[in-house]
Amino acid sequence: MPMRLRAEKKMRKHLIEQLKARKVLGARIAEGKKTAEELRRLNLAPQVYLFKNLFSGQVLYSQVPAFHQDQIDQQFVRPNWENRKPSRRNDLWRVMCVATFDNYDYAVAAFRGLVQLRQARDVVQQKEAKALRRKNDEGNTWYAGQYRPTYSQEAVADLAHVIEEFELENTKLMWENAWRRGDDKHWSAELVQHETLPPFNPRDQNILLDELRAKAVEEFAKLRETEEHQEEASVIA
Amino acid sequence: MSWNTAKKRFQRDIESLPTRLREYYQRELNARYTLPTFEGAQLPTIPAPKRKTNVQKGIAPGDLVYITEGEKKGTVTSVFHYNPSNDAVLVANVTEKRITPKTTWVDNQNSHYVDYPKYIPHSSVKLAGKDRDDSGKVSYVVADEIVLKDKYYDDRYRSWLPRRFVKHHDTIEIPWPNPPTAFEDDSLSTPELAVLEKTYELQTIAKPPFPKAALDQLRNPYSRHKKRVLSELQARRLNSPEMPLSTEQKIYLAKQANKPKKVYTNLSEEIKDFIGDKIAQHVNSIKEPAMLAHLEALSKSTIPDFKKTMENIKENEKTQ
Amino acid sequence: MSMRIPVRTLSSCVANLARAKKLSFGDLSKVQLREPIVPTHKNFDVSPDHPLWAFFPEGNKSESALRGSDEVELNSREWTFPELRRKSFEDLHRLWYLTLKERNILAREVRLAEALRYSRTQQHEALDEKLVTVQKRIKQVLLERQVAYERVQTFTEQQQAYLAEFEERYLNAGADEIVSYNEKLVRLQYALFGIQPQLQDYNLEEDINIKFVNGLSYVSNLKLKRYLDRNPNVAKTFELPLNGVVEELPFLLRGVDEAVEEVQALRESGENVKLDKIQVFPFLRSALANAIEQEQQEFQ
Repeated sequence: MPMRLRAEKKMRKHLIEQLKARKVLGARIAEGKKTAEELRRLNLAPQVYLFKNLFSGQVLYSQVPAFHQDQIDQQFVRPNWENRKPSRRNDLWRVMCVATFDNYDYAVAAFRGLVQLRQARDVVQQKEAKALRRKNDEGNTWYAGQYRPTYSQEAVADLAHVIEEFELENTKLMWENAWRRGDDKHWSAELVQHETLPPFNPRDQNILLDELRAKAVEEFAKLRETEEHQEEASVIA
Repeated sequence: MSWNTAKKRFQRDIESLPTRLREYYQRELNARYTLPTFEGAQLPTIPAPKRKTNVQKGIAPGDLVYITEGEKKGTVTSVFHYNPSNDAVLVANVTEKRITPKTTWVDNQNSHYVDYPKYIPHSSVKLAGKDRDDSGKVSYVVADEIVLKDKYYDDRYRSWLPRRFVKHHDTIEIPWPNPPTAFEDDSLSTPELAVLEKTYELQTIAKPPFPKAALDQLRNPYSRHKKRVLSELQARRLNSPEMPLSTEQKIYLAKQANKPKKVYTNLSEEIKDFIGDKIAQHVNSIKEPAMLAHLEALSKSTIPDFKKTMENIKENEKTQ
Repeated sequence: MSMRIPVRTLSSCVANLARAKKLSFGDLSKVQLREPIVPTHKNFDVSPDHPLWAFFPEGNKSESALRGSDEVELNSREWTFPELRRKSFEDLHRLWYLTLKERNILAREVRLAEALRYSRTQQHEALDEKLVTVQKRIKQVLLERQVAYERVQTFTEQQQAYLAEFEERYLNAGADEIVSYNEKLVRLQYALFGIQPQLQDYNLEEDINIKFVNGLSYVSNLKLKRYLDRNPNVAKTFELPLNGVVEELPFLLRGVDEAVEEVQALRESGENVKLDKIQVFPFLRSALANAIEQEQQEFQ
């Protein structure tokens, strides 16, 4: 083997860098956290998307209608045999709920709140969280195979918690299945409106989510327009 | 259930085992699956082919029987149940105290220790009947043996039953008792009138009674019990085609055809004499008796091809 | 985690007060975690007629998913062969599906018991055995009928003998018996050839076949022969035999007198073509369709 020349080494380094940069770890739009300004600028809606994993029952929160390895890394920080770090397989993540908020600040706050509660359950208050879960005969979180239904139930509870705690009025929740939202006593009717997603083929999930985003952006723009008109009218008056 | 098609194949067929092994396995199963309270001397099991049903045996729940052996010998009581597999009978007053688990308690039971009915062999009871005299006095008639004869339709049992007569006394009939629980219709029963209603009448032999397209569901056309015949097309497809001849083979065959055909003819006299002379010459020159004896024996042996060759010659002569 | 508590910014024009409520959790160890929200079926309605209720014993009103041993009803016995042989095809079809639905209920319960490791399903399996017996018997009855039908198709000699006997009796029947013989003929043509008594009952796809053609020829020739025997003057001029389906059909649809006249008219006009074999069925279908239409119009 001849010795590698400097140019060769440089080219090799450059190639590796390129490969690393091009490596796809999910939808690029979902990379990193987003502030309210960024959401507005990227033509995204004041929404939070909840994805459930069909294999493990874990829930992934996202500010955009897609997900990235960053979000998985951010939200599954203390993995253990019951709460394994899920893979990025896009066929296993299905939309569970699309939460549309009154404005971008609320949406960002809700997302942050949900992530914080996840932190609380996984890191800070592990014991309390486990105590609230339903157990099987051996005292572990109930499971069938690797599926644990408590995770999606906890996510729904966290969503209700965040909405109530931050008093996010004018929230619209679009559920993939109305069954999942549970008893109405957990939700405050003045803050939240419940709807169901239209029936869709899982193959078209991304299209559906994109359409929901576009619709919400439109509605938000209209709302702001009417508000501005009212303001002008009041100012003029 | 119907989807479990292999159940019987993978279970041990106890009934077909020889008696000793059958008893051994039954004891083992009893030990494994019965509660300690129900263990103990159980009556011997009768192999399935020899079992008799209630009707065949001539005993039914509700019958009166006279107990001939045991503690309650001499009493007349009624039968609760007949068990064909043990040829045993549950009778009203023969019980034993047993410890029963709470899951088997009946209403109003307060104690674990309870009188539990006990099986007694059928041979220790005799069928009895009530006889009412003219004066109204009730007496019991006990039959040593019963004979089942005739046939009549019993509406209470909704079936054809034989009559029970005391052996050697054909006039004394012991009628079947009333069934303990009357048959009640349930949600799956069909009322009698609906069942007996005749809705089918053969009106034409020109129209098939069953849709032709669905006939494969009645009969399995691929059943291995049917004689399966291949159609010509199927037979042609299943047999391999003939391999075409290669050029070398064709050349060889052509050459063979050109060669003169082998003709079987008798040897001429000249050749026969020549061969005979030669052999005689050789044999006469031998002096050792052992060699001569060997040659004698050898001459008696036959060549299998000889017969065939002679037939070929005959055929050839015929054709010519 | 940032400890900065974000407050909703005031819009420049709107006099919204700064929000009192914060938009972030403070100390995570002090947050009161909520119990997981269990999903509930009360959020959506299930129609009481949903097809899946057919897998439950009382459908919508079922109290439990799995019946206990004493709740399985074993009081009835299976249908017997004589009882099933009384029933028409439609009734047997109905009975088959009723047993099938019951078996579905039992199968679901047994499967559920397997999942729950509950092994006391002997009563369910006993009932299933009874239902299977009923289904087997239904199949057997249908097969008996089919086999009888197939066998009868081979009894050609007996059929011919019967037809010949009937012909003799029909031709020799007196005027007082002829009405009843005509009725018998109508029944015979249905019984042996599948020719429906009423025009409206015809199923033109299925009924028009070789048997129909044979039956038509038999009936028309029979009627014509009797007519010609009784009316010798017509017999002199009338040429036998009837030439094909075109001439035979009028004898089926109309009375003999009219039929004879019609045939003579056809012969004169030259429309009595002897059809090729391939033309026979289409001709019959169209002719009968026309006849049925005419009859319907007459009724109206």
